[in-house]
Amino acid sequence: MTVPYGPQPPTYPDPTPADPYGATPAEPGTRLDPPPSASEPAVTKVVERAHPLTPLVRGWVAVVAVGWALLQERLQGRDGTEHLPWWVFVSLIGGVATLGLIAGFISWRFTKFIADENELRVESGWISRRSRRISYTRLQSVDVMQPLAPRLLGLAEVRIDAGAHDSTKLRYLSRRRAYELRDFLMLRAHGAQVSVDAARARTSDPLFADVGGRDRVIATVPPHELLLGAIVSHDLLSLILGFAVPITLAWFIATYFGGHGAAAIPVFAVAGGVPLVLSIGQYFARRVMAQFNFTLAETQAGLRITRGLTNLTSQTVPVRRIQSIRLSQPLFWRPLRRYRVDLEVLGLGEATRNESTSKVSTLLLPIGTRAQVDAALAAVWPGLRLDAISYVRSPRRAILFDPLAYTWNAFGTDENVVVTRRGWLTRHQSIVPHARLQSVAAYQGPLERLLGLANVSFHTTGLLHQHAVIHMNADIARTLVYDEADRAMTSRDSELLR
Amino acid sequence: MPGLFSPPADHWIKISPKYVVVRILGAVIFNALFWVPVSLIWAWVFEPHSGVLSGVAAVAPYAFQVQWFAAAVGIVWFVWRVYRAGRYARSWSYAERGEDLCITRGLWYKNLTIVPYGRLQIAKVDAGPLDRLLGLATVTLVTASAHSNASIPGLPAAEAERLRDRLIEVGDTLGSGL
Repeated sequence: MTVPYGPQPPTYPDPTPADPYGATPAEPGTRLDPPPSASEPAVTKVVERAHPLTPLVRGWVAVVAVGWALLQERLQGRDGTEHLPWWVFVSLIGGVATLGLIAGFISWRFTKFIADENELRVESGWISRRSRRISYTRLQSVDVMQPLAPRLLGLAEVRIDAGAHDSTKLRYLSRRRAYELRDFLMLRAHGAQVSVDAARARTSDPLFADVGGRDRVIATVPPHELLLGAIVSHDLLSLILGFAVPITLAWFIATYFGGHGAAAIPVFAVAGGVPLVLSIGQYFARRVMAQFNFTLAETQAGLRITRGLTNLTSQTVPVRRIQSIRLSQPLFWRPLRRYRVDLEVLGLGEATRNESTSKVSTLLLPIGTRAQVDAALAAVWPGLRLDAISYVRSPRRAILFDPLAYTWNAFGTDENVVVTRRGWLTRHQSIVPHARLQSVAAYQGPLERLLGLANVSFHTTGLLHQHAVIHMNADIARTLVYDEADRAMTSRDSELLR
Repeated sequence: MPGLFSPPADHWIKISPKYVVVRILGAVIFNALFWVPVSLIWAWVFEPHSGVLSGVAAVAPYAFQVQWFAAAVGIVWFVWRVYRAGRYARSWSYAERGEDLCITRGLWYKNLTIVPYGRLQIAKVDAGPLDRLLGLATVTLVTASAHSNASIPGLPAAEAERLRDRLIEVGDTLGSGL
């Protein structure tokens, strides 16, 4: 991918010369002012603090919990608390709130985010100091999360993934600052030598989305599509069955063994129906709220995924960090020709199961038509020619192992990617660039050996064994596994990204 | 057409025959630590006269006999493991091929893993107490994938170090990042 921005002139002086632990830097808010002159030395260092409202946001949960507990005590009159006057409660809550605020303030006072030439540093801690350093070249993805409480105050959390087990969270910045920092980091992750000011100039600050004027929207998912996907899903079916089966059993037993069946019907209907309706409502609400206004956009800083109604989540992934992509189609989506697309990025972990989560997820598209899927794939890998790939399928004798899926099991390769298909209830199709393969394995059990079948799995950095083609002809599997190991070393992903 | 697990180039390099001893001793130790206590505890719990659950013996007289069944399962499995140890150890082999390392293993469930040198993050040598007693070591290839699972046990210690050094050297020249 070519970077459209050249090296930019330095824009402002270094506020803390070579002493990160030293005296307090310039006042927050003043350091981003336009430079006095363009002839300053070539250092771009920014020292950032969390937003001053941070202690308030972080402490409010504790305050509410303590207040609620005390209120309960008061109303129930346990421990003789009913004799205590009201001001004791108020001062207790006030005391807890003050302590929380002081602790929050100290933590806020001693936390600094420092972005300099090559890395981002997070310094924190009052008694024992901690300093985390994240090199820009190691950035995997940068996400901006806005849970409800911070969002009401206009704050946001920046979550930085560098491939390690846990991500670094900067909480909380003002929403605009969070977007600016995100854009800056992502531009640096792409290797562009930009200053913070240049990144800031490209950032917009919308309230309900995260799409700037220069961004190209690739796909949006309207609420009715989300509802459609939620209705015809395995999740809903298992939810209904989970209620219906025990209730029907209980009704059956009561009818035939209890002798009062007719009288018990309304009881069972209410006992099963009310929780069922409630949990179905919750299921729809959470799923639609989490994926609300799902927008996939191509920005200068990478692919951006924005979603959520109450909690706005904005993930940004550098295209070059995407290790593989998986298309899935649950059974009931087949007649609707809808697909779900997941992407694999180091640090995101396994494929997201819970589609009602507001945390970062592997979803590239929760539900989309074939055209939307193609558009999303083209945005990730413009060089991908999925239609031109011809597939090698399982031989007919594989019907013994996969009576329902042996016609779907297949693999196909071209010079850039290997595509595998498997799965019977949900059909999966994995696309792995040769250049992203970590290792290849062929394996065979005793029964498969009798039938001359074998499996080949392709190991990438995550997604748990989904990249496998099963029950292929053993000779073909052998050719595939050695060829794939060769292509893993010779292939480069530059053609895919072009 | 060569078989699925036949060697890629000239021949597979076998691991040390002494690995059989590691497998057998490992089986003995595992049995001593697992099956013997299980049998003893069972006998103690269901002992008809003084056991904790001695009442069970009155209701289900066969419960006490289950310990013999457990012991029999343990012994059969142990004998089977010892009997197969030689063939299992001989099933492990590896080959250096062009720009990758091939490892094959397994009797019933056969596996062939190929790791391109360029994907190597770490090559490490481990030797447990049994290995050290016999002068053996295990070389493990770590890639960025948690599923690669590529290790070669039962290598002579000198060969293990040579292989590790060679892997690191080749990995450095061919390395490509994530």
